[in-house]
Amino acid sequence: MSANDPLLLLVLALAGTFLLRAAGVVGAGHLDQDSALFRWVGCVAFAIAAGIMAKILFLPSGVLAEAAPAARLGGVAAGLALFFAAGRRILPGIAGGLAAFLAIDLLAAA
Amino acid sequence: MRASASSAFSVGFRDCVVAPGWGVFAAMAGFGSIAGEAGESLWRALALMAGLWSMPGQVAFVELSAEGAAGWTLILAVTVANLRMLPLTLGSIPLLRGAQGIGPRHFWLAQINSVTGFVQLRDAAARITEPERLAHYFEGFCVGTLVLGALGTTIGHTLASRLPDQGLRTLIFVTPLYLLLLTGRTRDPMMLSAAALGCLAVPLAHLWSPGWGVVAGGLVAGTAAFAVHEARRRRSQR
Repeated sequence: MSANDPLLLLVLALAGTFLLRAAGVVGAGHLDQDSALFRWVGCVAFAIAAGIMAKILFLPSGVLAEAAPAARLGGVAAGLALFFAAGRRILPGIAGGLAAFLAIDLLAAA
Repeated sequence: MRASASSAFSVGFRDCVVAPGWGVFAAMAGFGSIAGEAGESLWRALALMAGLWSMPGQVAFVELSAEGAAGWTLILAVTVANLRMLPLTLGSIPLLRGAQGIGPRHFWLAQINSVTGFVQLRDAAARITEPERLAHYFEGFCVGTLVLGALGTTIGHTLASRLPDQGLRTLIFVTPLYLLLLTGRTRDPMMLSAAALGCLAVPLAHLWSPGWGVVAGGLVAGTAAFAVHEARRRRSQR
């Protein structure tokens, strides 16, 4: 089996990512939920998660990049507006955001 | 206890299928189509999806593999692209750990965790305070994302060229919008600040370095939010 064997590469790539997750589990075993370290890790993880969403919405790649920027911005704005207007309820935000995204995207394509 | 565990699992699974799961389905349909175009078989695409379970690493593997990149370059690129899973795991597992501490099950839960799972878990932890029940809920939710992800990969691999782009991108739009709104539900001002700063810092850092930007931007934004709120908390305690 050579170093560039497709199956070996697949297994090593899967193992690399699993080791990251396993390191997180082992580290988490020593983390106290009330500690400053857990609060800091939570902040970093939250910033990463929200940041990835912002990156997907505002600097997309793939199929979403083909949507008009106004559709993505309008969808997010409508979603957030309805979310807060409905007392931080998710479903009205999703429904309004998707409707705005689809409408602006269709108009831009016309 | 069994009935309670199975009901928490079912609620988690249902919560996934109601909204974010279809976004994951669409995102994985996109991945399936990329993998198919790059010449990966359906089985390898499914193994990459379930084994890596993080889109940047999946795409990095398929693209570098198609370019014939050296083995060590490919493995390093995939691992760096998935580096975000380390803080996400560190921020998730303590919420799922009961008095017994870490066990083999937590490695399984870490493997099926994702950005979608992490945000849902932080939201659910405000309602479900018992770690064992929360773990069953989280497992049900993440299994839901995996099932819909596998379905999306399969459909994308076989049918992507026949799906209308408008429909596919509307579906893909569901997940980031859902997770952004879910993040906005947290009542913790420190986490809200971290999320808001992350929304600014991560895209900017990504422009500076596509490889390291997400982790570097998250590290800076999260640390800044933590430092400001900790300083404020200490001042108020004096």
